[in-house]
Amino acid sequence: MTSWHVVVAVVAGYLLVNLMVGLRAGIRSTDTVAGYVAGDRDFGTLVMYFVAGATMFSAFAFLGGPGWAFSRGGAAFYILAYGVLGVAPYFAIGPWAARLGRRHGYVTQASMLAHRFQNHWVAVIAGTISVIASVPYVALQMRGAGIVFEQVTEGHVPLPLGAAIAYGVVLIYVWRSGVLGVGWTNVFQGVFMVTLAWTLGLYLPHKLYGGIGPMFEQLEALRPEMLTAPGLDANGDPWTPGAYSSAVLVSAIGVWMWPHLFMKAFAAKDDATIRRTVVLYPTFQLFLFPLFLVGFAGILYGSVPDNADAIMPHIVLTSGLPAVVIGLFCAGALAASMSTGDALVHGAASISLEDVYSGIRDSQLSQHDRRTVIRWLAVAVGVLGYAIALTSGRSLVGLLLLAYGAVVQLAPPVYAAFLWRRTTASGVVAGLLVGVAVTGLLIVFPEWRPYDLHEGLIGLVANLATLVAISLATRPPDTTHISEWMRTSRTPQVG
Amino acid sequence: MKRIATWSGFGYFVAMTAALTFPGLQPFNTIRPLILGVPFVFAWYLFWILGSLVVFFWLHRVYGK
Repeated sequence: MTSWHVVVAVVAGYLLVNLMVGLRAGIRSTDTVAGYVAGDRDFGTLVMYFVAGATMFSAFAFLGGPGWAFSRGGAAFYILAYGVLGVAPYFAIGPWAARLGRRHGYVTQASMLAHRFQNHWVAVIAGTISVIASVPYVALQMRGAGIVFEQVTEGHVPLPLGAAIAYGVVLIYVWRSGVLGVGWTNVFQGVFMVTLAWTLGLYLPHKLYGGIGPMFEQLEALRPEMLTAPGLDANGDPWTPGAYSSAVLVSAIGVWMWPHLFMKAFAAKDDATIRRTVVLYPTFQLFLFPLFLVGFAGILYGSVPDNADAIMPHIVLTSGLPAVVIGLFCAGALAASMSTGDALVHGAASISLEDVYSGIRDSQLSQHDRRTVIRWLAVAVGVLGYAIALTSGRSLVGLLLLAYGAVVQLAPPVYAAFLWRRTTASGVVAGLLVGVAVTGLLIVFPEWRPYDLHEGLIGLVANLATLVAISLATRPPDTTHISEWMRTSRTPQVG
Repeated sequence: MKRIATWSGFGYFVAMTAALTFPGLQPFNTIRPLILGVPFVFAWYLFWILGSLVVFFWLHRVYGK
């Protein structure tokens, strides 16, 4: 048996366990949309913790993070900065949304916004933005899975086949078990990826350079510009402080606006579960530290891969580790990719039906039929993501930053819903359209951005200004409805 | 107590945002001294993450009562 056969055998075992966990999780789900999309609102702290951590940290963290540390140095620190900043507001907003979800039956954030603003177009537009942003993110996860397969099997399993195998497994357990499959596989995948990251991240600097300190001392002597922020841009030139800082802000504001993350508030068992998840979240975030160590180790490494995102598999493959360890690494990287990709596929499919389609046409489908439609939509999202994964030339983190520009536009309506009673539906709709339009325009004409700021941040400012101006210029909303909505959100759960 | 905790938490995360982005990051954006072998600025980010763990825990205790 050659080494790549051993690797494939280990990965096959990992995928099989994943499939079993995912399929078994769905056994206790009810045959309702709430069961399929919100897990019958029964997620405990263990599942919520891993859903939050493993869903947020994906192929982009496991491969793109080391890739950035390797190719762009201190620019990678922006990834360290935004996770905790992004999760902090969820300590308050998460329980507020969960209480409203239990009371009004929401399963997505767009349906929450539509009810708050009494306008189905809010759901259609917010849902459409969510789906459009999710698809490239799914593609990113698939590319990550494909890259790992291709690297560790020495090209015997090419990127398209590797991505298809990993996401074939994902689609099977998402189809069968919905969010319960996503949740319980995230627990398994989360444990796997964190263990692998810490083990390799602490071991490789010792094996290659005699320790973390000696490694950074050598780096300081040879490439000191790689060890401070804002590091380098994609072309190897110094990155600007404006671009760096706005990347932190856009990502921090946008991260919990991702529907596949936000809507997990509707799956949590109670308020305390959400708060405990936020409390524990920084412990998950710290797993970026060993991943960055591997990336920095790559700067001094003798050979370089074709693609910066492949630096971690490249070092693992060429540093004389046993084939079983390489297989375990591959499984860890796949865990990172799949734990986010499954939630994205499931979330985008749910939103497509519950918010976009149902917002345009009054859906008379039964609960069972809606579950079936969501399943087929999950397949459609997977196929679309796969097509983009095979054709896009952007780096993993670059692809993610692009998607963030769109999804961050959901922040003004979400915060306004909870914090500003005077917000009107017209203000929200106009703000979303302006925010997305400005962001899109600046993606096409990046030279128009002042101080090299992230296009999503400029779009966000335009979005917020429009929301405020149009809300003040239009008729105030029904105070009775808003008072009841606000009261529900602020009333702690009893029992 | 909840009011104090909420505003303290809010203040911490505002300070964290300022400390981890420019220009607030600039004074701490150095390699030396190495902290446990890690460049100072890298350790600076880890320090704020660990601090957030303490702040979140305190907020949870206050709101759990």
